[in-house]
Amino acid sequence: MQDNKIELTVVTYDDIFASSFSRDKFGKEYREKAARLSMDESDMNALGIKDRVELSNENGSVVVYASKSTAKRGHPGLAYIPLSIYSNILASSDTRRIKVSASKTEKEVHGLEELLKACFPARN
Amino acid sequence: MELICNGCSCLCDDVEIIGNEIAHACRKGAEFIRRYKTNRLASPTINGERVELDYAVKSAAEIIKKAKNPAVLGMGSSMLDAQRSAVELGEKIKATVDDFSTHAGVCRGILEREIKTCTLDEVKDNADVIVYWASDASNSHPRHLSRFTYLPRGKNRQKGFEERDAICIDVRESSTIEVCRQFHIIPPMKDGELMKCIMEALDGKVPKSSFLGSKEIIELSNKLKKAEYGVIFTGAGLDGSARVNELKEFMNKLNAVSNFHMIPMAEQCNTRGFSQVLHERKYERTSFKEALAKGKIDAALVLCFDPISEMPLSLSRSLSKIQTVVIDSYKTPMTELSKVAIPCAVNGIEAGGEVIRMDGVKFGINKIYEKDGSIEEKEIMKMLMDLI
Repeated sequence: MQDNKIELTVVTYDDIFASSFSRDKFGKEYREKAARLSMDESDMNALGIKDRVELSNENGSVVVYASKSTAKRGHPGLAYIPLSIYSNILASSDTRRIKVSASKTEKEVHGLEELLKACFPARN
Repeated sequence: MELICNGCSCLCDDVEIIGNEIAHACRKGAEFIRRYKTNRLASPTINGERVELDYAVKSAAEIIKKAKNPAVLGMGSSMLDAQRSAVELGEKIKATVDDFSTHAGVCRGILEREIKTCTLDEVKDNADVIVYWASDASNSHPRHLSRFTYLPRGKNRQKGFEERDAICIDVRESSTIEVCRQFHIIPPMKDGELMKCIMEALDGKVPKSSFLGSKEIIELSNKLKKAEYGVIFTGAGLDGSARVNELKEFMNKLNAVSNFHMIPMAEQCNTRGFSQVLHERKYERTSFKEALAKGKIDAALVLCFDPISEMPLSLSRSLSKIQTVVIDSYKTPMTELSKVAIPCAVNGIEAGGEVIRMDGVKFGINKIYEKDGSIEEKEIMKMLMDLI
């Protein structure tokens, strides 16, 4: 199961909880809301994940929190995440719809300070 | 104390601060007011080192003057006077000016009277069919449905939501779908195709779609056709999926048989104002992202905005390699990566001014609290303009 991967289309959206904390992007609350992927239960089961997932594609990779979607209709293969620097690590020209590979991970979700250091090494 | 919340472009004017309570505001608006002192940009910096304000402004002016291909970015949460200064500066230095709004095309169509529109007050009083297209208002503009559209009782809609149809068209089962009576889930990037199908149905043809049944589209078309007073609220998700020309064609077709208006769900409190300023000054908004990707930008002035959270990392990396000046109230990824960062008072909380709601109605906002040392964005812009 460790090497299991599934392909997902990630759609970004404006989340009220993430945007509530958007003026404090370095805070813990923002990280917990913005770095959160809402997934179909079947996709979570297929990967054997409970609370975190690693997303990667040709643009980069990022670890985010994973939550079971509250949508009444199933949406396997489709997942949702607030638009933020976390989703933008994976984005090509379109920041709204992103194709990724998702896999199980034991890694932690980075805060913004660590993320900036990793993404912009020349500036640190 | 009564105030106007500038948390989004609803500009709710019934918010009150009663003791320690922020009454009537949504989660977003209340947090913005309650936590306005958190994560503030403490002092002017150059390469992360603290400097005096005058020196920071002088350095910023030098960067802008030396640039061959400058850009001016952001401004969606700036007051109108700061927006006017920024556009004036953009004209002077022939800059790429961009606010990253996904509603630029719709706003322009409305301002040039090519797209029929109305005010939110008219929606409240009259609308019987409300369409949220690629817009999750419950998240992006939390009080939109309860104050202006679906739920309130209006002059000619005394029964409130009982007399209204609210329809959602989206790629996902959003929070707004939970509230609306009807919804249509479509695959990403298929908005243009759905518009064509609806137009076919309006013409009496049987629409053929790859994702919705003909019956579902015909029923939707009939609902739109029978509207006495319809409104389409366009969301950010429509950008890139349907072009503004398609939207105009769709609205013209619809209005040949019905009575529909369009209002963009402008992202920030003064996104609509910025479109109006550009329109007044006849200055063209051009794509910063495209210019940056082509290596055509060598310096950027960023006003109360964090482009790092709005664009792909590859472009953010390019942005971090050029000379950047940021004026902002808060510490953001952009202020961390900028050459010069200058703090300003928080717009709408420590600094007042005029803003334009998503429907084009102008509001005057008074400051709520006295500013704590920092100066207003418009004053910093004036200092910059004097040096350039």
